[in-house]
Amino acid sequence: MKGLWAVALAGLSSTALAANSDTSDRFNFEFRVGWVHPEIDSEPGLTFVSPQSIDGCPAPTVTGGPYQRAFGKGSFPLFELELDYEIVRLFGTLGVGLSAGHFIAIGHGLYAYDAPNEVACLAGQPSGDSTSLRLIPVHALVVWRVDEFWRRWGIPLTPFVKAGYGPTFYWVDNGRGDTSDVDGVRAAGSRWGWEVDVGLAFVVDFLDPIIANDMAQNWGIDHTYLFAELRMNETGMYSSGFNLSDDWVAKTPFGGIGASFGISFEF
Amino acid sequence: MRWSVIILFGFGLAARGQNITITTVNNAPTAFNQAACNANDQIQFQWTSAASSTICPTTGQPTTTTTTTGGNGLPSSTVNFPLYISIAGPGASCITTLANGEAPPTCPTDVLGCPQEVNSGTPATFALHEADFFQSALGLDGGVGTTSSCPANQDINFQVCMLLDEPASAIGSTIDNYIFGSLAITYESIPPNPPTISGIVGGDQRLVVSWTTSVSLPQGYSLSYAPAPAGTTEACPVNALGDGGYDYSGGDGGVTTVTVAPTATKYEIDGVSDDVAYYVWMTVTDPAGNTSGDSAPCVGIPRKVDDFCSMYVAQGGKNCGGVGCGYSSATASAVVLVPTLLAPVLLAARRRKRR
Repeated sequence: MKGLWAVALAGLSSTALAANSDTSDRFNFEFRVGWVHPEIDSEPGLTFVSPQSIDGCPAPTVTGGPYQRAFGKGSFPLFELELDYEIVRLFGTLGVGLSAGHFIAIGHGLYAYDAPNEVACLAGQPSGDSTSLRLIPVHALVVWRVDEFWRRWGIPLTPFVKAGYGPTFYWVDNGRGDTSDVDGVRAAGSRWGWEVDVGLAFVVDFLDPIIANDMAQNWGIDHTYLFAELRMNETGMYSSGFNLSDDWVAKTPFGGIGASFGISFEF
Repeated sequence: MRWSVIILFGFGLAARGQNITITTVNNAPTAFNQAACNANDQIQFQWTSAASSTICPTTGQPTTTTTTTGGNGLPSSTVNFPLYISIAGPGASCITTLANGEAPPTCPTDVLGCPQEVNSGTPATFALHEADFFQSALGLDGGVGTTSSCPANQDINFQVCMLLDEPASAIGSTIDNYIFGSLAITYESIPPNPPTISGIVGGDQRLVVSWTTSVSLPQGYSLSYAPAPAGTTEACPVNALGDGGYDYSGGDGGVTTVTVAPTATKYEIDGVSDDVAYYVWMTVTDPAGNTSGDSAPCVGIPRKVDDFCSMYVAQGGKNCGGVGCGYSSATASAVVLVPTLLAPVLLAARRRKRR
């Protein structure tokens, strides 16, 4: 599957480069931030801790699936960088790119359900130890930016669509700052997945053409955009292990929907 | 002509208004204790004054020399104006004014109770033996640098006094100008109160200890821990222990003592065993170097804690490992940096191409 993807991407690039007769080389660099809630607790077969007391001890204050018990119901920010190469004009630009990001969820470890902790009525309660889940998603992308509205008619809006595929590296740290190790298995690895993004970018040049022209002349930055996007994604949903799909906006049978916003520079 | 008169008048005022600033070398504490009060220990001082630059704006150096008197640990210097150093004992004050034409008081060279004439110079530093404070300012004359002069269980305030004489000839005046400075030095031989352990939290193979102290700017803490007998439960403080009770410092596994930074308010003990009770106690050392007695001990128990991966597996997850385990966090971070580093390179290349 991965090999096919690489071949397809290379073929698309070379074909487009050959056919590229009316566009100059262009790059697009963007920084975006989104809030991510991994769908780990949606994995089939996981049990949920309910607020039941044990042997007269107070009920556990944190319940639910493992992600919710460790990190709560909230989401954590994902910061991403992306660099695209625009290879052909197609009512806009069609290009390929690479994105990489960083996400970390930090929460509390819970006292284990062992005899000493149960005697002390601490089992299942939050401890002073922290625990964290760190993600590094890396995706190869095909990007289509429909900038003809701006180029032809001066409408400062550029819709765009992206499709990407790649690994998300992850690891889990314990309270001592070490990578977690359960039964001899180190809690680190990667999960592969895809994403489809749909977004709308606002052409900032529209607000002050003089400054935009100055940036182009002095810095080589042709256009600056502010954008927001929705991201349909699936990462590890259909295989054993962490389901790292992001369902911050919504959850679907095919994956999660997340959102992000950011700024991009075309040069 | 009028401007010239005003400038000269202002110069004269400025020269008479200067102060000497005294500090300890390397920001050393301005307090000392009984243990350090002997013939060998000194407090190093440094001083600054705008006097020389005011008088000699071209070279920044004074133009006259005097005879060195030295003695009592005071440095021998080479040039400059007469400089007087004295120690004022409790209840006394440094000289801060002298009437026009009045000379500084003089004393025998081996007594520091009144100003001693030495030379200012470069470097502008001097040292005083800690025992000399008592010998000079309190009249506890056991001889310079003797330990018998330093009393126990007392806090005493001294002042180091400086007086710099700018000769009349050097400042174009008919009378000498005097510049003054002082620095408070405290002798403390009363030990501080022990710190209070305010909390001890057991984690996975570790204990996190937090505390409070009444000591301002402590020099540091000493934290000790030792295994407690089986069956000991968590408590803080452990009132039944200490004087006349169980010898908590003699646990089966011996005592481990660590030094804790003075700015810390909590400390993490690592490498202790889960489900084993530990006594923890500590001391504080005040700025003068006096160490308190032991704090009331507390008992903490490291406990097994599930991190996120352990919870995941315990609740039915397959395992936390996965494809591609052979990378490090540094490698992953480098992957993130690729677009960041590549973008400016490409941008620069395009700018060059356009030009």
